[in-house]
Amino acid sequence: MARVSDDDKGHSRSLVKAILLTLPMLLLTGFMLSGVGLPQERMQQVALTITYVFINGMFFLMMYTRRTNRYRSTLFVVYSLCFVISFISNLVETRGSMVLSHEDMVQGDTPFCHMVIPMVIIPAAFTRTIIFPGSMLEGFAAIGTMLVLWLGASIALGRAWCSWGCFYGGLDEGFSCIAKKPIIKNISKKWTYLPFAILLVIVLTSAASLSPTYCGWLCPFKAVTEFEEISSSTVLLQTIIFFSLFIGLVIILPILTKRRTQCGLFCPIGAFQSFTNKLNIFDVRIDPEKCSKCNLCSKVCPTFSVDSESIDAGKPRITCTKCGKCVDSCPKEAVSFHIKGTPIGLSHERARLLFVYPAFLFLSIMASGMVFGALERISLLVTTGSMIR
Amino acid sequence: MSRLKAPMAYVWALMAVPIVLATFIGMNFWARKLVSFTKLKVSPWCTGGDITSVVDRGTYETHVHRPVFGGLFGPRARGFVQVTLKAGDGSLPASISEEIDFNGDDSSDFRIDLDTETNEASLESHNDRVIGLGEVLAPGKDRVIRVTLRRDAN
Repeated sequence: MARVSDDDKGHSRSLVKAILLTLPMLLLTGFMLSGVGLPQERMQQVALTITYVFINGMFFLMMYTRRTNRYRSTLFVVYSLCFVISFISNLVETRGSMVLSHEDMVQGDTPFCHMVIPMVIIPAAFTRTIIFPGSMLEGFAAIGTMLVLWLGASIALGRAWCSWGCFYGGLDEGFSCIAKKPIIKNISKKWTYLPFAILLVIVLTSAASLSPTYCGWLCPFKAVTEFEEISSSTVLLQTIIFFSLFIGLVIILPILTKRRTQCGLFCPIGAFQSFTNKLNIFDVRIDPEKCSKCNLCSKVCPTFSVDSESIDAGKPRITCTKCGKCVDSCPKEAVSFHIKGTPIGLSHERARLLFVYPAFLFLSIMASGMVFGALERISLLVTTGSMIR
Repeated sequence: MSRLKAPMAYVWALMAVPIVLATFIGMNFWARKLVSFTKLKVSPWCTGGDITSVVDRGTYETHVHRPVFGGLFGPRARGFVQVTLKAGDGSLPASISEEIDFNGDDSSDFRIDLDTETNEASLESHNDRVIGLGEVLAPGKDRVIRVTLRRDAN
């Protein structure tokens, strides 16, 4: 997945420059990883070393080849897979299964995730309460800490959260990389408005019912995290819906389309996150003077954010997740990362570096805990035959 | 001003790394600040609401919560009151019968009979605001009972 191709070699910079550019990331990730304390057990030390080398190896390749997406994508997919391994193992260890009972909810033991954020805003404004059965500050994935994480990501990166931070996005990205060519090529632009429609519906229904309706009915990622115990026909129906959505949107459609269909055509938090792109300093621009209108950027965009209209407008749609795939694939180097307020077409690499450092730092900090946790579980499986302590 | 635009944009872009670092390093600090500043709490529809009275029964305690009716713009017509039977050092008695006064008028509003082994409960209402038994939950050694209520017209 992450090898330097001949194409990359054409863009690559000198080894010394690449190492120098990697040094700050080595220091920052080293500082962040050692901040929680170095492990005493040998197996954990090995897991931590592998994590550190893997993450910085990806960044080094990003610097050396001047390619963003390939190495981001590799780390992003590994991060999501490791999240699933770590999360499920932790759940089974603490609760005995992936099932979320009403007892767990009453006790506030439900981990909060960013998917809930659009649904809690209106009730929080009117009632000063969060309509989620979690804990404000205590325990794993407390509401307060997840809100801070989301705010930090939104200020620093905008919707780049979806390609550099979200622990679910790598799953459909991974499946979208499986096929060599897309089987379904033409998807109507109308579908790209569906996430905004879902966003509107879940925000209104959650405010009216004072419960997070998306979590109850639609979230496909319950299939790989936690789900309610089937105790009634309603919960059975909800289970059928979210499993079907997971299989359809996260597995089958990404394979058939080579796009992130869940992120681009369904995810309401993604739609909500799009608005943070308006406030964020980083964006992607298409230089009309260099563009040959080959539409390659439009064909490869995983979230359907580039079309002929946006090419004419010189920038992707508001839904752009700044993954860098269009930037890497443009044969004319007409597509580039850009800093709002600066001239277009000048110093592409400067803008790319200014964006990639914070974005990769965010991804590496999020991923390191998950990769380390998953490696620990895998080593436990190898040595004891079980992932559970 | 237009000459300052690009340098200011670069400064703002450079701030992204410190913002990411501050987010992770100070996550717990910012979370506490956010919660204390906004005064946000978990919805009583999830937690059961604040506890208004605690009765010590020796081997266990009975916690009566404030009735929950809160809607988005005002109280709803229907809500619930939560009663938590909190086990002490040991487990709860095999059967419990509790008279509950949820509105603080010193008279019982309903009686709950609970078999703590099967978690089967029955309800006897003494107040026309009491509609029926909601959920009976068993978090650990404790038991949580939610009784559905009608809002007082007054």
